[in-house]
Amino acid sequence: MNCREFAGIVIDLARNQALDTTQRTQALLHAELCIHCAARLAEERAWLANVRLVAIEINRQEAPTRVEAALLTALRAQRQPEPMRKPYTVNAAWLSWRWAVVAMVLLLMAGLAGIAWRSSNGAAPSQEALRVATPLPVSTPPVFAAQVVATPEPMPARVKRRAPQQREARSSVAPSSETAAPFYSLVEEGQMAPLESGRIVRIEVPAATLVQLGVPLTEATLTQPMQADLLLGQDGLARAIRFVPHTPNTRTPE
Amino acid sequence: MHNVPFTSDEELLRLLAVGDESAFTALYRQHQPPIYRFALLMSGSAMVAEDVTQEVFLALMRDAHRYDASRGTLGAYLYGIARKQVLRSQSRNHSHVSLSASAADENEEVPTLIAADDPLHDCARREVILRVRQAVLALPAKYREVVVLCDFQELSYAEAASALDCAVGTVCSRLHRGHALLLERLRTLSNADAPWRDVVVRCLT
Ligand SMILES: [Zn+2]
Repeated sequence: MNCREFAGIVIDLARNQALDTTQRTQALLHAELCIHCAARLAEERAWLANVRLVAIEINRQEAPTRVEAALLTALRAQRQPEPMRKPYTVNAAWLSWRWAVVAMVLLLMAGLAGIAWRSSNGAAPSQEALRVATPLPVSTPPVFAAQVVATPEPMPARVKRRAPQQREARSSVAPSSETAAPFYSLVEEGQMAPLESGRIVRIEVPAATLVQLGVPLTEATLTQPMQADLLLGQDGLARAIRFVPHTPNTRTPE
Repeated sequence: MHNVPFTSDEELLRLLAVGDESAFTALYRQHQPPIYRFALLMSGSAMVAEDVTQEVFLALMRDAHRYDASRGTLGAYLYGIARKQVLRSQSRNHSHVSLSASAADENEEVPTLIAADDPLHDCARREVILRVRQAVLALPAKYREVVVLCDFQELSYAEAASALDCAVGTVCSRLHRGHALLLERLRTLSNADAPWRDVVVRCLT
């Protein structure tokens, strides 16, 4: 027997099983002559001793009695005759009806928001969009500000591009302040589907409204109408808002 | 109710199919301990082992007809279900894969681990047990399940192959590879700064 053959049977040799007498004798002879294979056999035997130690500990453990009790309860429930399950069916039907109503309401809201978008396509500030689509006129803390600031830019395809000179003019007055202004979330985490795509709509709103929505403004600006960017999600609902510093010629996007 | 002390698994399953509680109890009491221990060794968590045991017997209750005696013993069939449940549970909660100090604590509920007469000897034994279980849990699942079935549950290669739905040759080669990894791991764990020593220190207090 060579080392390779020995390695193939060393586990069975250590266990003293599944080997005929000839194989076993040859393997033991090889181990007497080969230090490497003798060490491997010793390791296997030590492993088996350790396994027995663990087995003694493990064999005292069983599932708690509550598992058997729970299973017997399940078995009894499974045996219940058909009429006992009827309320379940009624309940399911009522649930699906309720879901249908929820879906209809959501579709209606999305449709209204879509109309609001189209009507706001131009100079008119989309106050209506804000009114229709903003579900939460509460002062939500800006918990999502960091994420939202990063998301509007990756979806430029649906955001109208501004004329180069407009961009230049704006940047000379308020360099990068518009893009740097953080978005303030209008919804709680988990309240809406994740933002997959969206659109930014420039609006003009009373400063007090912005304050209501959680945007911090100084007292000096509270009396003026303010420009803001409203981030609408793929469902047409407002997700976040940001304050646009008031500068000449920046009333609305093109 | 039937009295079913010496009935075969097939007969018990037939009775279970018509909702016989005592048949279910007999099957459960016979097959639950090895299934629970298999899940415990595979996951290192008593909680996972309990969940897996429950799922295995719920599946048996629901789909007893799926068992085909010509393909292996009922025990092997149940190991097959348990194995899938363990893997599913670990993909849900990866933290159960390693036997951490907290997982070890979970098993401290076993009172026999606390020796009254010779705490030093008991701690040495406990040290070995922890090392071995940690090494087993560190194995990739395909080797771990073979090692648990063949070494700890003492299934034959053919029974393990039936449980794992693979060839006997696959079981043998995985067992050899698993042992090679285990022995290597145990050599590493023998280092003085092995993390499990923390657990041993706590044991002495
Ligand atoms: Zn050799």
